[in-house]
Amino acid sequence: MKSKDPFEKFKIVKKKEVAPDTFLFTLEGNLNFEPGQFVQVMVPKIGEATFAPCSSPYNKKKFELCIRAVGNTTNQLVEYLPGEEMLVRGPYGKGWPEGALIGQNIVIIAGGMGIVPLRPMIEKLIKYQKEYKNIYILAGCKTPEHLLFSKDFKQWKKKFGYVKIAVEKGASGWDGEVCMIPKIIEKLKIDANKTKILMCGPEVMFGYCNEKLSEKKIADKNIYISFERRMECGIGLCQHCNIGKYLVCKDGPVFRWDIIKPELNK
Amino acid sequence: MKYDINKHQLGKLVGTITGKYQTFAPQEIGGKVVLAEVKTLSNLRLFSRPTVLPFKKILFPDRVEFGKADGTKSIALVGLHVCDVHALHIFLRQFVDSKLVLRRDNILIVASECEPDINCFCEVFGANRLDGFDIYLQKEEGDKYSAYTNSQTGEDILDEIDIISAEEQSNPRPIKHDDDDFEYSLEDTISRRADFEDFWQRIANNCFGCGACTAVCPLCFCFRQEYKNNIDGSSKICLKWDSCFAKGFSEIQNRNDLRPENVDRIYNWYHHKFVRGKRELGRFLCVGCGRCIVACPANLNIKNILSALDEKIERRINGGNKNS
Repeated sequence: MKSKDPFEKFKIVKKKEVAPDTFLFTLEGNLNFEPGQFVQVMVPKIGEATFAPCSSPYNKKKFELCIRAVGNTTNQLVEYLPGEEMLVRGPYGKGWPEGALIGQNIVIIAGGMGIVPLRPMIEKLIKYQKEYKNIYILAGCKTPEHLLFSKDFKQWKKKFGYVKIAVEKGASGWDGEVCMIPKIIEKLKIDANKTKILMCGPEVMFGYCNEKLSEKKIADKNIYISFERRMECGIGLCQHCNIGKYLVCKDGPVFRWDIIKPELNK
Repeated sequence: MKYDINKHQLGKLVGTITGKYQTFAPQEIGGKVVLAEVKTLSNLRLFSRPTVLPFKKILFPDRVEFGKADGTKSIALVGLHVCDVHALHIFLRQFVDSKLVLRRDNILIVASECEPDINCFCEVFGANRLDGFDIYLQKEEGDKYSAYTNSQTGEDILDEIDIISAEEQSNPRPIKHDDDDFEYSLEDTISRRADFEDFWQRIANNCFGCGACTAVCPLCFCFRQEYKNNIDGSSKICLKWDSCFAKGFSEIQNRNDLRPENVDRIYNWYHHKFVRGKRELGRFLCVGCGRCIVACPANLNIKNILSALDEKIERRINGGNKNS
């Protein structure tokens, strides 16, 4: 921990339910993070949980955290109201790559909450859009109701042209795909040599998606994935978050697939 | 410098250190040799078998509040075996940038000569090299002792004691035989889990998964946060020793355990010690102190396991036994 009290207090200015049990909190203050980095949020007397800020990294006055109630800490966190303060430390970790993406087609693949760490990156892609070739966004979630940032998707569609969303279970009024993400990867037509993939989602999805990507001749070294692990310290000491010889908090959370693939299941 | 001292002066030496530092040394308490704060000299066992728990219980106490130290004096660790001195330096390097290990600056390290037992194998990892201490104590004939200094702090302390004689050029007796060739294939072998799946499964079949090895190991430092909530509403965040054998250690969202089987856990222990640790800190996270062998209720023996993984280690361990 960097100083005596590593936590900084940020005031909640807005709270919005964006999906079942999932809330988007807007906090006041400058977090100074890179897209793909994460923070630790503490609920006093309960515990800490790990989140990736999901707002534009260029907004230096406010940032957003998207929190789904799935455990002890997050169940408490979603009870917070505007006006209250959250205890945040970080940002930590290495985010999405920078230089390697220049002049390339970028394919964003996000499963469920996986869009969260990718949203700041998409903001960055928008800002420097001229430096990249085409940008494709593929996302998937359980039902249309679970789709986060649906307004943004409409905007991204206008900006990039190619946005495909797959839901596992449709609903009335849904005109998008009803399938799993690998199916929409299949339909993608892309120059394999000039493409970088940025992916985040539940771990089970990576294998299926990467299989489809390799059928499209996209090399493992062109796939970047952000991993989820439960962090205790966030600074490379406690050893809870390792994947093989790498620590997700320090060496990640974004890893190149060719580097991390042999380390999985160790 | 080498100083010749007698039993009386040895007591005086420990007394002097105790006056200046908060001093911890091996003491016989309840039939066990444990590392504890020195209150009286009568229980001291400076030349003993390894303490049950290593120095981590002093520098990194279980359930200590984050950022709080229970004392202001610098710490002296007296009677550490040389393997523990090596482990201490690796341990301090792990926590060098954090404030988790408090009062780690200016630790006075007084090592003492050990009697190698059947379980220890420090020579395999070069942890028998006599280095890294301020003072080294060696037992001589009768009630005589030698004290070797390795730093100005060490010399200053010995200058306060009336010694019999001192010598410039003299080295302590080596512990076990020295050999600088540590080119093992261990990292590579342990990295390739799939090729050795049967091997790890056989070990896991015998392992109870109790984590005793992780509790006694000087270089097992995994931890988590624990919130100590009091009835008056106050709360403290504490550092809790964790074990990679514990249920929930590798758990992520929705109770999804990434290491559900014992084989995953024991493999991860070896992988951390000999692959990940080496990558992070440049040294294996094992100094061959043998504590885990003593602690294991299933009689698993890290010496045999490492020997099976690397012929060179096997030769070294067996060769060492023949020589001694």
